Amino acid sequence: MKVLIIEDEDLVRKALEFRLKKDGYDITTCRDGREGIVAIHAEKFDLVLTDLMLPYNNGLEVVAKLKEVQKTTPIIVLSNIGLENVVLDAFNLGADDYMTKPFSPKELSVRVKRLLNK
Amino acid sequence: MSSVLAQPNEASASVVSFIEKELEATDLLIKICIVLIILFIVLFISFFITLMVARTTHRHRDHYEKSLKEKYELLLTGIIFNDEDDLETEEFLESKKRVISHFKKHYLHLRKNRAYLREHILLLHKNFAGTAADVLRKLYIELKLDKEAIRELNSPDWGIQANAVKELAQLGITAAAKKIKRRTQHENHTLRIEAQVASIILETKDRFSFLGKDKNVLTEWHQLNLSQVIDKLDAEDIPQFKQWFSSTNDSVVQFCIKMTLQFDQFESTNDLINLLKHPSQLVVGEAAKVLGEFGATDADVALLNVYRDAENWVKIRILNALGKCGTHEIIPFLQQQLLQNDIDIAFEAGKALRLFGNEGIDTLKANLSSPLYGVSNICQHLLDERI
Repeated sequence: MKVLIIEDEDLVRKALEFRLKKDGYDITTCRDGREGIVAIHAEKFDLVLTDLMLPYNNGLEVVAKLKEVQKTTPIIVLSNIGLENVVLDAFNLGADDYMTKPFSPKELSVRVKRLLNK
Repeated sequence: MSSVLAQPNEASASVVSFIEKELEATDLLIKICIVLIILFIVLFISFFITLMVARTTHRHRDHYEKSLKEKYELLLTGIIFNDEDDLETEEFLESKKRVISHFKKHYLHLRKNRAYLREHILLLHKNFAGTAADVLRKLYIELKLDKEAIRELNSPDWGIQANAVKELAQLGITAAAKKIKRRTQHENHTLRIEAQVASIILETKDRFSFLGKDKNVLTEWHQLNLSQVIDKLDAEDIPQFKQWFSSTNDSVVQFCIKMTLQFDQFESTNDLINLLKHPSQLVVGEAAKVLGEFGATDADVALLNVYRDAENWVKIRILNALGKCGTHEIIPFLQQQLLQNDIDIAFEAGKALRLFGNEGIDTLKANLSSPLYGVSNICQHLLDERI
C-alpha cells in the first residue's frame, strides 16, 4: 500500500514515516504543498496524509487537487487548528478524516488502516 | 645541512634589500603608493583567509548539526514509535537504557547539543499525544533536561526564562510550578503571559490566583492565550469567574466576564447585572453582551437604565442584548432608537426588532416609508427574506 505524507516539519515528517513504515506501508514524503501536488500528479497513492499549514500550497489546496486527480484516494488532514469552519472546509473539499494535533500515533495508525480497508 | 637551511633566509634577505634599494631610489609619493599597495594586498589576503576559515567552520558546524539531527531523530522516533505494547518489556527497556547512556556519553555533555535535543523533544511533544507523549516526557526527565530548563528560570534574560517556562509547561513539569508562579506578575509582558499560562497548567490549587493580583492590562492576545489553556482544563478545575468581578483591574473583570460566557456560568447572571453599574465602559459593554447571550430577561431594565449615558459601541451591544433577552415591552424603545439619526444604532435597533417576531416585523414594516435618512433602507434590508 502506497502512502504519501506531506508535512513541512522535518522531524514530524520523519516520525510519521517511521511509524507508518513500521505498519508495513510504502511511504513517499514531501515537504511542502507544491511538492505534494506534483507527487499526486506523478503517481497513484492508496492514501494521502497532509498537514494543513504548508508552504506554497496549503493542505486544503492539496485536498482539492487530490480529489480532482485521484478521486477515490482517501486523504487525512492533520492540523493544529481545530476551528469548526476549518474542519468543515476540509470535509467539504473532500477530506476523509481530520485529526487535530497533538494526536496519538496509534490512533493515526488505526484511522489509516480503517480508510485503506474501506 | 646548514647551507640548505640558510638558502631561503638569504633569498628573503635579498628580496628585502632589493625593495629597500628600490624604495630609496624612488619619490616619496611613489613610496607611499607602494606601501599602500602592499598594505592592501596583506589586508586582502588576511580577509580571504578569514573568509575561508569562517566558511569551513560554518560547513563543519552544519555537517555536525545535520548528523546530530539524524541521530536525535533516530533516538526519538525509535523510542516513541516502538509498539506501545513493547514499551515495558525488559528487552526494550534494556536497549533504551543502552541508547540513552550512549547519547549521554557522546553527545549530551555539550550544552548546545542538549538544547538541540530539548527543541526536538518539545516539537514532537506538541505534535503527538498518548503513549508517545508520555514516553517523550519520561525521556526528557530521564535525561535531566527538566533540571536544565528549571535552571534557566534564573537567567537574567527574560527571553530565555519565557522559553523555559513554555517548555516546562508543555512537558508538565509540576516541580517547576512554584518558581514559575513567582513570574506571573513579571514586568515583562511575554514572560508574564507564559508564566500565567504555565501556572494554569501546572498548579493544582490556586492556579488562577494571579488574576486577583495582576495590575497590568490583559491585552486581547493575552486573554486569548489564557482562554485557550483554560478551555483544555477538566470541568472541575474551572473556577467561578465571578469571584474576580470586583477586581480593580478592568481588563481582568472583562476577561472574567468573557469566561463566564465561555463556560456557561449562568449562576453569575445577577453579578453581571450589577456590573452594568461599573464605571468602566469596557466592563459594561462586555457584561451587556454576555447578558444578551445568556438570554437574561431580568436584565432588560438594568440595560435600559445604563443605555442613555453609554458610549456608542456600548449602546450597540445593549441593543443587541435587548434583542436577545428583552421583553415585548421594550419594542417602543427599540422603535425610538430605529428613528435615531445614527445609522449604526438605528441598524442595531432594527436587528433587535427583527428578533421579536411578528410584532417587531410589523414595527419595521410601519417604518418602511419613513422620511428619516436611512431608516427605510434599513427596514427594507431587514425585511428582505433572501438575507
